[in-house]
Amino acid sequence: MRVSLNEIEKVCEKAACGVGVPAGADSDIGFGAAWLEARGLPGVTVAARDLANFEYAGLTWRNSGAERYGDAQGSSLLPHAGGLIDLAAADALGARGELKTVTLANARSPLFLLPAAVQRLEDGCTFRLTWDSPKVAAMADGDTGVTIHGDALLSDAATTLRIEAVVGDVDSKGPPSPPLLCDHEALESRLAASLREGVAVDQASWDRLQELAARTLVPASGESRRRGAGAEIDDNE
Amino acid sequence: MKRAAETAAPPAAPLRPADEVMRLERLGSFHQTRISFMRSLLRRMAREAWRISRARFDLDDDGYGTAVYRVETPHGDFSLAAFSDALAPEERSDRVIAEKWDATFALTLGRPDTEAIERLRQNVPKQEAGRCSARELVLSRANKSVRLFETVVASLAEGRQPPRQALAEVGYLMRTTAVYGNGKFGLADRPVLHDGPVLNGPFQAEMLTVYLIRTFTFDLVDHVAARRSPAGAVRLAPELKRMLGIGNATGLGMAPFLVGHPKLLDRWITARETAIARVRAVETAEPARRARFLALLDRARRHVAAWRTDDARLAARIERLGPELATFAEWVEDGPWGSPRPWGAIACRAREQLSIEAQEMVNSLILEPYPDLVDGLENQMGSDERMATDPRMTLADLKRLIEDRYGWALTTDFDRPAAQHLFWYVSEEKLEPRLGERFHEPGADKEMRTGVARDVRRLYDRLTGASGEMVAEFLMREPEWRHIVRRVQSLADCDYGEIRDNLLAEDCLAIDMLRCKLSFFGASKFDPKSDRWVRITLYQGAPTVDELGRADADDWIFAAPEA
Repeated sequence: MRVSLNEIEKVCEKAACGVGVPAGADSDIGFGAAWLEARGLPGVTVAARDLANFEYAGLTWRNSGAERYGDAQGSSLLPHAGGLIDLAAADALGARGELKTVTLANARSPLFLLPAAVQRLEDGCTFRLTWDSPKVAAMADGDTGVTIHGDALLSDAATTLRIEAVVGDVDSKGPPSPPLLCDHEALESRLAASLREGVAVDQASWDRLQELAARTLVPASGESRRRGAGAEIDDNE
Repeated sequence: MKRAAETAAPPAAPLRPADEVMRLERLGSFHQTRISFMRSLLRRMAREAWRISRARFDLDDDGYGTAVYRVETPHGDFSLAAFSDALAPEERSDRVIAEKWDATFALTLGRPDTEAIERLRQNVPKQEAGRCSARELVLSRANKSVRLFETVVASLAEGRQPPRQALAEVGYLMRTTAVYGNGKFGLADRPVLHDGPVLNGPFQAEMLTVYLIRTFTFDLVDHVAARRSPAGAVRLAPELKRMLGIGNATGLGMAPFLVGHPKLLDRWITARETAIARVRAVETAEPARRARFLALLDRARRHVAAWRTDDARLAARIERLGPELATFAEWVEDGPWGSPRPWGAIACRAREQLSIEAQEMVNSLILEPYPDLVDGLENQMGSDERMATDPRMTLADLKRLIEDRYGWALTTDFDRPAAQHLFWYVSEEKLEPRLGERFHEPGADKEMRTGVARDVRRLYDRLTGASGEMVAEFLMREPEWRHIVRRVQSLADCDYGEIRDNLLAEDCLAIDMLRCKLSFFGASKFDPKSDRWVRITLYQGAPTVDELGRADADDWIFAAPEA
């Protein structure tokens, strides 16, 4: 099935809302899913998988010097993606030029942090996200755009996520990167194709998201029918 | 006023304060202006000499079949595919859950080939139950005005023009019941147009679609009349076509849009208020501009005299409006013109002596003689709508920001049941926003985020004793505040982003939100059918395709019968 990016954003946002993701984080998930799918990355599949089994869990934290360490206790990062990037950005913006890191153990589905990071590029921050030793390293940079190394984007395993943020450029001496998956040019090319042709989504995932989104709907009541609620009853004038 | 400084190429008086402008009663009194979207679209069509032609018109004797209209612009072509079908009277009921319509439409990019038209033929008549592709921009449907359609066809078939009175009273041959865009049902996403050279302003594709539907209705009545009486039929006269627009019935679905798109709302209102401020600052009124205003004031009075509604609240306003404008017109004849800044004096006098309904009509009118000061603002009415937290802001500063920008929200006691009487939700039955009564109906646990005042109040209370903690840390710990914190921070520079009323209050009138949005489209003849939906006319008085190049093509505000 081919759908529009707006449909992906709205259905994923409502699905997130329907399963109890906090207000605001649900719209982050909608934005993230559409951003990823527009660029050929598995936003819908990951959202459907994680939201279908969603149970909200907070993160636990301890700070050590310039770094923050947290533990996701095996939960999905979908509802925390925007908040985590905000936290890393806040630290970086407060320490002009100094690299700040947030490390999170036992985290699942860090992929949604990438669109959240892209949203913060206007602030002048650069982000490097690495996970699973790393099997994936994603870079969001206001100058060079987004690059992704490694292909374990769909992994459901708990992993250790490291967010590096700095105002300026991230030190190139990061951990060794896995092979390049796609660069900024390729992602932009996919975006253009998505706008031109729509996005083909996995039908089972899409159906699941729509079921979850339907939880936000309110059945008609006798009162709502009596009030007409805006619908025109007779169009034969 | 930061925005005034940004757009201050011509001198401008201070913009009106948001506490005055952004109240529901005033927003619900807005009228069409020069920068309403229909007006700006038609000006562009005329300026760039767009060509509109019938690429296909395969309709049978009863007017059923397929038509395609081609729109050629300097930046590329668009097409409207129209599918006209037989519809039994019993099928023409309840606009949202209907499954068939008299006519259905899709606005497409480029020139669809036969195969594409066939695909649209299979899907567009199904509307929500069909699927569109990224080649289509807008999906719409319309039903005939049973009151008027047959009257017009019968008259034309008999070789005479239909009665003017009937045309004036109804105002349209067809009424749209939905105009969908922006990626719904597989349609093209907004960036397809937003990033391009044409139809890139708010609702321009939707407004073009409605204009083409209007053109189709004229061709349809001419066609059916000619087939009914090949030898004797006449075509609908151009001056009568101009009296007709497209009807529209708008319900609650449109209301939460203004709450959900606060940055866009801010741009719209800022442009309108800047236009008013620029004209108010004009030092002297040249005779031609003065004459233009006086002529339009006269036309507006005739428009008001012909404005009918069964809605008691609006009917009372209209009843007051006529005498108010009469008295005002007497004063304006020689009152302000010798003073400096006469338009400012007119606006000031209106504010002091007229009802809000009349004030906003005067504000629309004073813009008309000044295309040079006003029309450029139509290019400033879009927004990227980006909402982002300021993660380093301290909670103490966030609390001060609320006190500074949301004082209007802090005065309501939300412990009173009347302050939370209503809740907005999306109906499972109709998939559209609806209003419920919180203490009498189920569903409040799924309410939409339209209670901005209440949510800000709750956040403010939570911030009691707030310290130097960063917003980012607070939101990691208490993510349930993410939505409202982001909203407050994102709108810090948007004077006109929030409707400064409690939208959950027992006495909240959603109809005011509908009228505000529809006025920016350029609608007229507001005719509320309850406090929850309104009937309007679009493009009534507007030039037809053949008239777009005329010098007076943009002269159709407050269309009215001749004196």
